[in-house]
Amino acid sequence: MNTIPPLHVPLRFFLTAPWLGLLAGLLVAVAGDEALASRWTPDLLAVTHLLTLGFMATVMLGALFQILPVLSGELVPGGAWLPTLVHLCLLAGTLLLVAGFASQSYWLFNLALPVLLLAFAAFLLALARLLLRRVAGGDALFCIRLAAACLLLTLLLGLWRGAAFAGLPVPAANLGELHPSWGLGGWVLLLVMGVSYQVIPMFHVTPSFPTPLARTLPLLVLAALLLASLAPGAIGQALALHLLSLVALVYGAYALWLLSQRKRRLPDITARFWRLSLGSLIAAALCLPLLYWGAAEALPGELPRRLPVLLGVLLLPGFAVSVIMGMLQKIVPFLSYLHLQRRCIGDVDQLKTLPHMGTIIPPRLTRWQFRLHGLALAALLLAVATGKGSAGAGLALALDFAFLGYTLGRAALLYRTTLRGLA
Amino acid sequence: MKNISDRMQGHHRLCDEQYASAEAAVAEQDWETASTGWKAFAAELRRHIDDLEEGRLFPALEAAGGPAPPLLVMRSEHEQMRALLAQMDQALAARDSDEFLGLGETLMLLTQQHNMKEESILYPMMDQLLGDQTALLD
Repeated sequence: MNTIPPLHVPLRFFLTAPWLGLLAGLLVAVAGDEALASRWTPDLLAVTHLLTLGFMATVMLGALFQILPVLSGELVPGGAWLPTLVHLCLLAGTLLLVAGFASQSYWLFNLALPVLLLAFAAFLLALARLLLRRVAGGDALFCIRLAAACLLLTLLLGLWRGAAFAGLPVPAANLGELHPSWGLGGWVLLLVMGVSYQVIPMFHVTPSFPTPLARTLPLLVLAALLLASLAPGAIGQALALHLLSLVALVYGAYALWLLSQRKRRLPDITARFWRLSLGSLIAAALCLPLLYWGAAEALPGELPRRLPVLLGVLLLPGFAVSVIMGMLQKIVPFLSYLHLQRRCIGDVDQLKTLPHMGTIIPPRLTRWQFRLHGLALAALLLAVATGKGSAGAGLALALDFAFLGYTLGRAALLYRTTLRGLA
Repeated sequence: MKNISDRMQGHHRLCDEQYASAEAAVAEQDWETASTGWKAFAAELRRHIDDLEEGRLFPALEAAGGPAPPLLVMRSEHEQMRALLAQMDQALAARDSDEFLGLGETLMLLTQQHNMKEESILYPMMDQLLGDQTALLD
């Protein structure tokens, strides 16, 4: 029981992540329409890393600090300073990296890369024992471990590319596609998959993913990525791409079907966030082969060149961010309630005064979050497709994240005042 | 003859369904149906944790040399569930649907993560150590 870490450990990650997302939105708003024309523009690279490192990785690390001790029954070594170190380094490293991209001052990478390396190395070294232990976690942990390996590879590939950007003498290699492929296909897809194995049945009271499917899908993802990285020929590349799309399609469709089997009949906004996320994944999985077969060339105007950016919008704000936003709406109130409840076990009168999940994040705020996120996603897709309106889309994204920051901050404040009242 | 895992998992699913019905009735403010449904669910859940688990299976597992720490965690989570059940009894009596549904969301999450631990670790352990004692559940 006492391996449950104090609430401030995961919460500090959850509370800062939305503000980095807000920066991403503001950057889209001021960068101008041209910034969204290709995925390699410095501004879009800055936005992408604000979303992946600043929002997604930050929430992920906070969640792992919470869940690993609970699963393994062991405390994180190093006590309170480790989460502090990881959190601050991740924050500082991300901001330096993003400043480097946005101002094209690549010498900043000389500072950003070591700081980011320190954040992830400290985390991995301290938690490697917990991550590798034989703990009961079944299909979810199997998949999450593969995702962690992909993240490690993505980071190493990123470091290599970053060092080349910074002008350091690293062996030149054409790794342009590998870093985003392992990041999106490996880390993001496998992480969401693994998490969904656990939380879709748990949060939404649905049947579970059958083990054979739950184990085969991530292995096929890994096979596709290895094929894409190691097979030089066109056939290998085509095979990898189609395999990855197929796995994403099967996974997305199956998860949607599971959600349709919910026993609870009450409207649940987190389930809606999941549907939006899985819908985006399916759209991306259909887009990818289209891109390959040149069908995109038949599209009018600039659209063929913009399709890769569209794919990125579907995968990052669409697939990954939606699901994280939806889950935070449940995880933060649930953890807050559990921590408060443990303070007054045995005292029924005090227990009755506690705010429950519906007070910590009221359903009406979650409904607004869903609307704002849907709006931001639609505006981004439209801005990329038409080449116009990036200012509005950026502001919509900024508002979306600001609202998340407000909701979570409000929940944390309520937790603190309640805790003080109990003392 | 079904083993302990199958029977206890089946009972978890039955409780899930009963709760879903009660919750739907509360959301529609159909207090008659809600009250009947809630009573059936609460009785079944209490029977599950008080009688079947803490009354029969847990002591049998301890007697068969099963490990103590997981049982300690399970018992303390049962304690948390009992507290929520008591609060929800009152919310229903006061016909406060927001309060009831907010507490219910908490109870569901607590229960689901608890059930997963039981179904993946504890019950398989019981099948192994208490395999021939399915009569415990009759």
